[in-house]
Amino acid sequence: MSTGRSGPIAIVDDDASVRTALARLLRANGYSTVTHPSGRDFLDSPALHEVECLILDMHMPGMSGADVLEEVAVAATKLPVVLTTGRYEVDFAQRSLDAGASAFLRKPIDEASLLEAVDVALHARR
Amino acid sequence: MSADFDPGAFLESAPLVPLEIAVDSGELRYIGDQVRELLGVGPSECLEPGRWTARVVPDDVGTLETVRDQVGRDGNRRNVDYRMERADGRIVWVCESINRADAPDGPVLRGYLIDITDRKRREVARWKNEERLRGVFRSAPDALVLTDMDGRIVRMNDQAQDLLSYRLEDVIGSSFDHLVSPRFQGRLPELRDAFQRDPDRRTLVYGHDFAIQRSDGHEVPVELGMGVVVDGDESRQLLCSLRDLTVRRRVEAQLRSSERHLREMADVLPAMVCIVDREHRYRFANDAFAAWNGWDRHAVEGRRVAEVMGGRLYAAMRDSIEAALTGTAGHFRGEIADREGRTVPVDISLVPQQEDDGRVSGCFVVIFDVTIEVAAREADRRHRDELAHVGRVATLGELAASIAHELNQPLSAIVANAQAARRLMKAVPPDLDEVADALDDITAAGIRAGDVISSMRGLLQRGETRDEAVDLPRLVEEAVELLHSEAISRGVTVVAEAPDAASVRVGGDPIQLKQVLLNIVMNAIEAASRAPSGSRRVTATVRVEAHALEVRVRDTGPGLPTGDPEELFAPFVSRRSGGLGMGLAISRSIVEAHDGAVSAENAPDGGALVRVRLPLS
Repeated sequence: MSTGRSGPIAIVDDDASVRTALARLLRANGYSTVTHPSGRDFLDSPALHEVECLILDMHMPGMSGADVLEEVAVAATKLPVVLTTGRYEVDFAQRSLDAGASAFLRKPIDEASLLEAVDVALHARR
Repeated sequence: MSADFDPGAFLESAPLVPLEIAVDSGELRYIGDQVRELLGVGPSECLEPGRWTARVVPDDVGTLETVRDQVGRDGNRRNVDYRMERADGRIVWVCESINRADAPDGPVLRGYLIDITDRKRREVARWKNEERLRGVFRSAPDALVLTDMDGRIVRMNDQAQDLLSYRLEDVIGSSFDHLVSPRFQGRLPELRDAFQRDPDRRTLVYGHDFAIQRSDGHEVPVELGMGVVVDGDESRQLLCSLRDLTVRRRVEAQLRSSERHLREMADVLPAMVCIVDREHRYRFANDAFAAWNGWDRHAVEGRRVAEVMGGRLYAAMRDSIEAALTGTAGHFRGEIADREGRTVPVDISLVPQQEDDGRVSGCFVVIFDVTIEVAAREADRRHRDELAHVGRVATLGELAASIAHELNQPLSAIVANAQAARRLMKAVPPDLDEVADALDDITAAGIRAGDVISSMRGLLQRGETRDEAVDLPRLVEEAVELLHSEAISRGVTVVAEAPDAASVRVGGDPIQLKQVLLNIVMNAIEAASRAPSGSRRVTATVRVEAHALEVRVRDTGPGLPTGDPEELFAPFVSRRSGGLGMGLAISRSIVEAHDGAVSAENAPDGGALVRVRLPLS
């Protein structure tokens, strides 16, 4: 587990219950978090440039995770992104990595996998 | 004549009044003392000139004078009847019997008067009686034959002469028995004897089956009536009336024949047919009807409906029978028990039986066994339920991935919250408030997951069609919720609107109607997903129409594939990859089974519009 983090972890998920639960789990593990209900909301907020890591749901109405990922990349923020999905998708892992994600997680997400993915993402950031 | 016969004494004691009248003057010259008894006045008063004629009833004076003139001229004895007024004012009938004699002072009329009042009264009575009889004879519609008590013909009217083809003069005095068919000749003496034995007996009952034999030998069926006619002088005669039954018999034969045809026809019908009269008794029952309860047809006829049908069915039918008896046909469905006690579903029709004069004399009851029809309908319904179920299973199969996602969301929340809570409790100090929040969120997520599962289980159920008041706007919301994940994965926004339909209900099966909405919205999501990203939209609106609710599902897709809306509902035509192509076909059959309609069209500003109309409950 890494120490000396400089900023919060952003969680973008249209499902409030998931969003809140993931934030609570990360906070219980010592992370600070910000949550956003949609990609648009996140992209338009100052958090885009303040967060250390983005945990992004693939399936959201309006702007999908992939759309957000694309804009994040365009902004060239080098923000590490952990993609999550609740659907079964063929080649999800490969497509996530191809799209520039540093890690991917299938829901439901267990604590160890989450912390590991965040760790990997934060290392990638450095 | 005896030697001591005294002619003078005889004349004075006999009921005769001797008289003598002068031919020349016409005046009475002598009258016997017996005139006192006859007129109540003495001879001297009668002999005054003009007094006799004054006592004669004026109407009879002419007759009297004519006869006296004739006798005075030719000398032949004549009798003349005339009326006179007594001193007390009463009228007496007299018969004057006179002839001419030559007296010293010229010719005279000599003779006597006799009181004939009693005889005249009887004659008048008889004459009046005969006049009456003659009138009856002439005007009676029936043939009338008058005989004496021994059966000898006294008189008959023209109708009788026509019927019997004999003239009165040919048969008068001969026995009426000879005009009767030999088969019935023995009956007449018996009937006459009955009259002889009982002097007070006036008439016999009409309607004896009888036949007469005409002069040409033909027999004619007649109805015979007999009665005693008492004459003025107390002599009794028999009046026989004969009514020609030829026409009636023919009509009866025709009726019997047409009734036989009716029976024969009714017997070959595969239905139970009966006629019920105004007293709710069977007047007719065909073979099928009798066979149904194992009774003989003749045992059914005449019995009360309640007795044969059973009290329960009769109670159900009574009002319909009454309505039919007042001229209103009816139809209802019921159940009857057969001989073995099995319940048989039946269609019962009641039709008034109207006579030529418009009177309703009874009603036809036609009962069809609809076991096969009911079974077919039941099988049909079962097939439809089965198909609907298969359709739901297929739809859920298509939605499996989306539904798994819908379940995955609350599960994710539960797992993350549980792990967070565990960690929060181990912290020093433990953050129990946050733990409590996590547990609350776990509960909410668990309930949400349960909702998804019960919604799915409802759709997978194989139950019988229900009929209840359905909250259609709520169903639309549920369908949209179930498709939430599917819509997201296709980048489609789905909006449900029910601005004015909150409290309105339609009658039907909620599961099947949800299936319909699910299919239509799913189809719209698929269509909208072909639109450019950003304009992928589906709107489901519930509107209240006159007597119906209409759900309109609009998408922003490319519109109907061929422009033919019917193609959308054809089976095995699918626009979705992996779809069976049965969804909309099944939806249509469900909507139609709910007395509704489903249609599709291209919306004016692009995309497709599907309408589902369901009647209000």
